[in-house]
Amino acid sequence: MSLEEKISAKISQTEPKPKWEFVGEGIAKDILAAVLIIVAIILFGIIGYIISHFGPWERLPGQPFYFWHSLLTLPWEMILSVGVLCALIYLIIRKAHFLYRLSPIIIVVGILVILGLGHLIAEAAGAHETIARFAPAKKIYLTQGRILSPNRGLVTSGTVKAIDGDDITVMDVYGKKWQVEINTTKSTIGKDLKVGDKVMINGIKSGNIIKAFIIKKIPANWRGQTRALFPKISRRITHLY
Amino acid sequence: MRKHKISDEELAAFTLKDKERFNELVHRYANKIRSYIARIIGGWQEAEDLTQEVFFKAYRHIASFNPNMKFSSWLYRIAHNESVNYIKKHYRYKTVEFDEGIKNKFTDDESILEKIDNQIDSQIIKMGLVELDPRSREILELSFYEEKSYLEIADILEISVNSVGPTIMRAKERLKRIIEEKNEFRRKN
Repeated sequence: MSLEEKISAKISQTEPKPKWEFVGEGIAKDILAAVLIIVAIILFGIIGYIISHFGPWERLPGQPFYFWHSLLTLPWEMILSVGVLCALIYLIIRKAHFLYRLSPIIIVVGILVILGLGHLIAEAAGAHETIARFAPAKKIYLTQGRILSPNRGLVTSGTVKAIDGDDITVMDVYGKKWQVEINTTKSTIGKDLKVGDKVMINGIKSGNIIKAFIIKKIPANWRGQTRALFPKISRRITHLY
Repeated sequence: MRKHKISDEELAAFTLKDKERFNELVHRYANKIRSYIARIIGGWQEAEDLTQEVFFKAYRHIASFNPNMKFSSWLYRIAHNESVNYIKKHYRYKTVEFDEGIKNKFTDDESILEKIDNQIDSQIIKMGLVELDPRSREILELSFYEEKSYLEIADILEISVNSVGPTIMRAKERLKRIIEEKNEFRRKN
């Protein structure tokens, strides 16, 4: 039996698969890729939101290697998740629609551009403000934002002007007075403060009231009040409480 | 009046309605696919078995063929995948072992010697090609033996078009290095 005859004999015992199977498979892959892209955009946006609102690059005066310390407070779990999602998206879309003909770098850049555009559109639409109102999402923002980490997210700094029990009044370098509420029964922060001390405060701001998580005295050699990297968008996460 | 030769793509499209059309495709490509696979995996009988498997899969999946690529590229892609799976299964811990008959087929065509620069000894080339890794051998196979374009090679191997040229260059460099080592060995002995 010649090779052609063998092949003909083999295929005569079967039928081609129907077209709808492959069309369905293609549509399923496209839908999966679209869903993964949307999830990646949301995570990418959360990372951007957390970095811009939690200010990982704020200076930590008197702290050696403050930049490396601030890197530890980045939302690494989310960054890893976005990386894994991008890899999955790349693998799924690469074989679809002849994208493998393009250079892999172009495909990766394309994915990142889509994520960036999606993030900007979500920001403009206020998606994160809406998402953050849901309890599970709120928890993610706070956990990933490392809000309870000491030295994280300077709210303000200034000079202690008055002390009244658990409340202290601090005036910042711009002359604004802040009422700082601390719970000295639950922690030791603020117990050794006195009028005239220069302090840094980490906490939640509401109007001119701050619920402090931590207050630290500023070393004598500190040069001045720090500013967040993105001062115009560095709003504190008061709406999460 | 010249008879219009039906293209491979037209035959593939008609296969769903008329099975006999596929036999024409088998007639056109069976020997080519067998030779291609044989030069990759090194065995004639195994190549024949894999060729049957290739056409069986092509027939079953004919509805998935996208006319935006050439039918031959699609078919060669199936053959490539089958060859790779075969090599992974059978040669995981050793190099591909070639039948003598397959080795001879590597240099039957004198023009191939001209295309692979400065080759004068067909025996040395044969040995060089046999000792190449399957990936390099395959791309030289597609480029020089099958005379596929860069786009066709990209579709067969599912790589970017821009990377085909550099991949061919690297395969040629590896082959040249092997041939130079063999020439050196022969000179010393």
